[in-house]
Amino acid sequence: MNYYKIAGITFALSGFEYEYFKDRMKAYEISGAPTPDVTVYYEQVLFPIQKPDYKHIVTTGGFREYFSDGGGYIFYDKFENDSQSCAKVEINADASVVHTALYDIEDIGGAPVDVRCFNMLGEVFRYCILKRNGMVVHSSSICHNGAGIIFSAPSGTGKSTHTSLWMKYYGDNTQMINDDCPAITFGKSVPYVNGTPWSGKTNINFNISAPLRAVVLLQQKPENKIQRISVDEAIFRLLHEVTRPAYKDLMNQTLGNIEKIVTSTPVYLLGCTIDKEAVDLVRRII
Amino acid sequence: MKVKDSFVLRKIAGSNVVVPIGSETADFNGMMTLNETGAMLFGMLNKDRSIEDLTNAMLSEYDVSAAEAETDVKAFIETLEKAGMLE
Repeated sequence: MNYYKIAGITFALSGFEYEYFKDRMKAYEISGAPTPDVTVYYEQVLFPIQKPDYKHIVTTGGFREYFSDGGGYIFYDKFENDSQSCAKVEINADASVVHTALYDIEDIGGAPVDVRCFNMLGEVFRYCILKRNGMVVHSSSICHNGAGIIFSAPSGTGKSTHTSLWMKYYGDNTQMINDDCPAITFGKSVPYVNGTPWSGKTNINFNISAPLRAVVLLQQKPENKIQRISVDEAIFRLLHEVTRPAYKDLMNQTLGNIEKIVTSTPVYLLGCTIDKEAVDLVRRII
Repeated sequence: MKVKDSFVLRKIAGSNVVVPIGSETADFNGMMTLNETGAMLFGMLNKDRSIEDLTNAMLSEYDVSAAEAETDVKAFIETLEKAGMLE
């Protein structure tokens, strides 16, 4: 068993023996054998995984099949034909025990099995945190003078480029938290932004957390301009940048979390040209 | 008629928001907000209901005529139908 703490949640991981995996998780490792919040079991199997008998709910992306056994959260990734899967995740009803497996076939989706394993745990995390007063938001996040700021937008808009400018011009009092999908937690008086091992295409993530001061939604525009947006618009835009679970109770939890963000934290829409001026505009407002 | 299981209604910061569940990122354009009446009717449609059921509910909740209630209910049902929310 190896133990990790991510966004305040203690994980006991069994069977995750890949070097790549351990490297990516290193900053979140903890010593001792504390009582975990979530125990995750993993095995790499030599044969395609048989689909379970549970009730099928929905299939997304043409390959991810979600099932319900009456309480837990179960998803399998299809492979080749309808009865075989190459990945399995079974999370129990209170997300305290998870069973996962990967069928190791040469580079499914262009990734070797150790990378697939690491990414799969990232998906497990997204579900587990929803049961523990938290949520992953697709955004590039920084800590500036002790304040957590998340810059959210659809992929390709320029979030990472924007935060890299904060680091370039104000690196002395700015820290990256997570460049792609930090975890927001709601246990304290204000929401907190937390680093996690999963940070999209880069490995830019740190095991730190900061109180959330502002949510900035980015849009590429010819001119730099920032404004507070209405609660309705904030809800709509944020809904695009979070996991929308296939399960009603988790979706309810997600909506509740979005409500916590929009009622406690100012949400801005920044139309920007992704340059220093845009950074300064945000600094003035916050 | 009833609303498909794949939609969730929830009050968020004062707005009644309807969101599809299990939908793919690319397809998600559908967040609908309802006024209080719409939210009440939507809530009733978690079970199979007739136009009459819904109209009666409106008449007991609001001070409107039977004709107005029926018109409003039918208009609302048509909106849900167009959004593909009814089964």
